[in-house]
Amino acid sequence: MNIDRLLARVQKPTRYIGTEFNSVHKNPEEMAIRFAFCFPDVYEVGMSHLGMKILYHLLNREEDIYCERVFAPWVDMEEEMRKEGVPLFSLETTSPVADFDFVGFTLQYEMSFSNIINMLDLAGISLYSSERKEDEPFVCCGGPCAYNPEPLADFVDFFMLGEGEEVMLEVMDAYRKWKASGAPRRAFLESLLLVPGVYVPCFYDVTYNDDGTIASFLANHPSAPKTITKRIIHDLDKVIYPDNFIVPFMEIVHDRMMLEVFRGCIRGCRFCQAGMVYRPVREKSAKTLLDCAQKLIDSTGYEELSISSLSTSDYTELKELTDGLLDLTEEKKISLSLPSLRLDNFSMELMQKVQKVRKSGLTFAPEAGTQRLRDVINKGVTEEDLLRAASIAFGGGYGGVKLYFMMGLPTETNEDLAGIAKLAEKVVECYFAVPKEQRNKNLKVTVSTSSFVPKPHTPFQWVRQNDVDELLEKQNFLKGQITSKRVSYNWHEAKLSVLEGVFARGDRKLSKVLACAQKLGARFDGWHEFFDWDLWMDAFRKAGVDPYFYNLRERSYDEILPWDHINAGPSKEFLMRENEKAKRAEVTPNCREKCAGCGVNVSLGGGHCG
Amino acid sequence: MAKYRLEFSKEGDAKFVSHLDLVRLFTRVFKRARLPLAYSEGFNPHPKMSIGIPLSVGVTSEAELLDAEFYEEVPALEIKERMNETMPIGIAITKVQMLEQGMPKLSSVSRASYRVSLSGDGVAKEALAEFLKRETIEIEKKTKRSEKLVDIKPDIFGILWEDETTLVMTLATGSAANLKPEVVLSAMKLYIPGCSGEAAAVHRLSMTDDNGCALIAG
Ligand code: SF4
Repeated sequence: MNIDRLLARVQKPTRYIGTEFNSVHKNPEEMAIRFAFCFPDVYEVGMSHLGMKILYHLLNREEDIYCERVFAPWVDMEEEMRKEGVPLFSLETTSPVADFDFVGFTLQYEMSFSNIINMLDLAGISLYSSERKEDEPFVCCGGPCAYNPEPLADFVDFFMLGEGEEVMLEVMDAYRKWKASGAPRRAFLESLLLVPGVYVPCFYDVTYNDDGTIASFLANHPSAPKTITKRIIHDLDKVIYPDNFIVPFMEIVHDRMMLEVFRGCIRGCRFCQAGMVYRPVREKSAKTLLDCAQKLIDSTGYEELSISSLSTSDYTELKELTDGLLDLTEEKKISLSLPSLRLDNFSMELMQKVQKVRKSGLTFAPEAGTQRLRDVINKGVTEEDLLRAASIAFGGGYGGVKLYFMMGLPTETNEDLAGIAKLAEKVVECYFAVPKEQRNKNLKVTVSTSSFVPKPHTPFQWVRQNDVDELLEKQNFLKGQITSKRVSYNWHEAKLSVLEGVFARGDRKLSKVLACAQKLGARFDGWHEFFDWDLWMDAFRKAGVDPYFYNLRERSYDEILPWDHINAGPSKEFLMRENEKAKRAEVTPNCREKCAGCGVNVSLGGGHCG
Repeated sequence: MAKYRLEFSKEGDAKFVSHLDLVRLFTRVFKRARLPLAYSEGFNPHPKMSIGIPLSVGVTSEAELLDAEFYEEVPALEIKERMNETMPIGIAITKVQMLEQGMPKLSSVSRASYRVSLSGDGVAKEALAEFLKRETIEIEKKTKRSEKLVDIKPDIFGILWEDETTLVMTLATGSAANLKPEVVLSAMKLYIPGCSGEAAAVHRLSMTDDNGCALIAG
C-alpha cells in the first residue's frame, strides 16, 4: 500500500514509516511466518517499551519469520485511514495487518484495551475469536495484563503467560508443524494446549451464579490443563537481548538505551502486581550488562543510557555495574539514569554517580504517609530512610525532589493522608538544615498521588477499591493539609483508576462492554484528552453490566476469581496470608532476608530464588 | 579542529523526517560512525554541527548541506564511507569536503532548484510562459495579525517546463528571502486556469549562492 498522501496530511508522519535505523527489512514473500507485533498505543509510547524490542529482535533472528511493528494510529491518522478505506498496516512493509499469520498484542495497561478492539476493527479482522474464519490471522496476547486475561478472552485466540523468549518460539514451532499438516484452524489451537504457558480461552467454559460471581470454570477439551503456569527464563545471562535498538526519527517517551538488570523483585510490596507476578528475582551479571551496554552504545549512538528494573538499588553488583557504566559513558557524553532507587539503601556515592553526568530531580516513593500504612502495604521503608535520603540529595545540590504516594489503600484513614503532608514538610525542613552555600538555590518538593487499584495475583486481590467520590474527597482533604508554599501537589484522575480497577479484576462479561465502548468511540483511554467517563458508563448500561460489581465489593476467600486458572507463581495461600498480615500491619521480610514461602520456587521449578 | 561540509540526499520515506529530527539523527550517526564530532563547552554541551536551509517535510532532496566540526582530522572519503555504513534507509552522504579559510558559509545559500511533478493534467507550456510574463505575481500571505498581498515574482529566478507535469523551479532560498515551491504552485492555481496547483512530488536538486555557484565541490 502507498500511504504517502495520508502521511502528507497528518502530524508526526515518522510514526508510520518504519525505516528507522536498525529496523529489520526482509522480503515478506519469502517468509513462512509473518508476525504483526501490535502495541495498543501510539508509536512514541510503544517504541519506548523494552519487551517489544526484545521480542522483535527474538523473532526476526529466525530466518523464516518476519516480525513487523504495528501501533495504534493517532486520532488524526485514524480519521484519514477510515476516510480513505486504508486498513491497519505494519510499519516495515505497509502491509495490511489482516494478511499476517499472527497478530500479537502486548498488554501493558488495562486502559489500552479499547485500542485493541479499535485496532482489530481498523484491521478488518473478525472481532470475536469464535467468528474468525480459516484464513484470518491468529490473535494472541502477552504482557502483564494477561495475568487476568478474562476481559479479553472472547476476542483473543490464545494468551502467552510470563516471559516470552522461550514460549514464543515454541508457539512458532507448533505453527510450522500445523501449517505443514494442512489441518483446520482449530487444530492449531488444540496443539497449543500442549505448550506450557499458553492459555486458549475457547477450550474453557464459565458459568455464573445469580449474584454474578463465577459458579464454575471448566475445561471443555481433554488436553486443556486445569491451570496454566506462567513461563520464566531461568538464566538471564543466556537469554538473548537486543544489542541494536531501533533508533526512532522522532523523539519518543523513553528515547534512550535501556539495560535490563534483573527481573522480579525481592521486596514483596502487597499492592504491587509486578513485584508478585515477576517473581522470583533473577539477575544478570555485571559482565553481561557491560558487554551489552558497549554494544548498544556502538549500535545506536544514543546520548542516554538507563537501567530498567523494579528496584535498581537492590541489584547485588550495583557498584561494579555503575562504575563500569561510567567508564563507558562519561567521555562519550552519554548520560546515565538510574530510576527506581529505593530509599533505604540510597547512598551519597550512588547519587554522585548519577549526578556526574547530569543533575536532574530525584524521585522517591514512600507510597504511604504513616508507618502503620507503610507496614500494611509492606513497603518496608521508614520516615528516617526518606529524610536521610532527602538530606543527602539536598546536601549534594539537588533542589527538586518528587514524592510518590498512593491514595485509597486498604485501611487508610485521614491520619494517613495527613501524614503525607507532614512528610513533605519534613522534607522541606531537611533542605533548610543544609548550609546555604551548599544547597541548591531553588527548592521544589512535589507530592504526587495515584489512586490504588487492587490487582489480580496480589495480596489485595480481594479488597474493595475506593469509588470516585471517596477518592475525590481524599484528594481534597490532602490539598487542605498541604499548607507549605514549597510543596506542590498533583494527583491522578480518580475516574481513570476506577475504570482501570474494573478491568483489572474483570471477567468475560466485560467483553461486551469493550465492544460497545469501541462502537461509541472509546480509544486512547489512558490519554486525558480522550478519556470519556460518560461514554464508558453508557457502554456498561448498554451491555447490561454493573461496573461496581467488580471493584466496590470485598471478595471472600472462597469465591472463584476470574484468574484462578492462571498460575503466576505465588500461591493463593501465600496471598491470603499476606492479606491477613496486612490487616494486622505486620511486615514480611524481603526475599534476601528470609524466604516468605510464596511458592514460586516450587511451582516454577528450579527450586532456588535469587 | 577541522571543519567539514557534507552533502546528503533524502529520499523515499526519509522525506518525512523533519529538520529538528535530522539534527538529532546526525548527532547519533556521528557517534555510531565513531567520528570525532566536537561539542561546545559548558554545562549543557551541544554538538558543533549545523544543517543548512530546512527542507519542508514531504520534499525529497539530493542536495542537503551540513557543516560539522571535528576535534581531529579525518580523510573526507573515510567520513563518507563510515557514515553511510550507519545511515537509516533513505539518507546518504554524497559528498564530503574539508572547509578551508575563506570558503563561503552555509548562510550564503540564496537559491535552490526543485523538480516539481504536478498531479492531474499539469500545465501547458504556453500557460506557464504567460504566467511568468506577469509583471507581478501576488499572493495572499497570512501573518499573525493580518493578511497581506505579497509579490513573489522577484523570488522566482526561473521555471523550466520539461513536460506538462514536470517543472524545474529555481527560487530564492535562505535567510534573506525564502520561497517554497508549494507557494509558487498555489500562485499557479490562482493565475493559470485549470491548473490544480497540486504536486505529486517535490524534489530539491541543488542549492547555490548568488552567483549560481555550488557550496560544495566534487
Ligand atoms: S520462594 Fe521465597 S525467596 Fe523465592 S520469591 Fe517466594 S518468598 Fe521470595
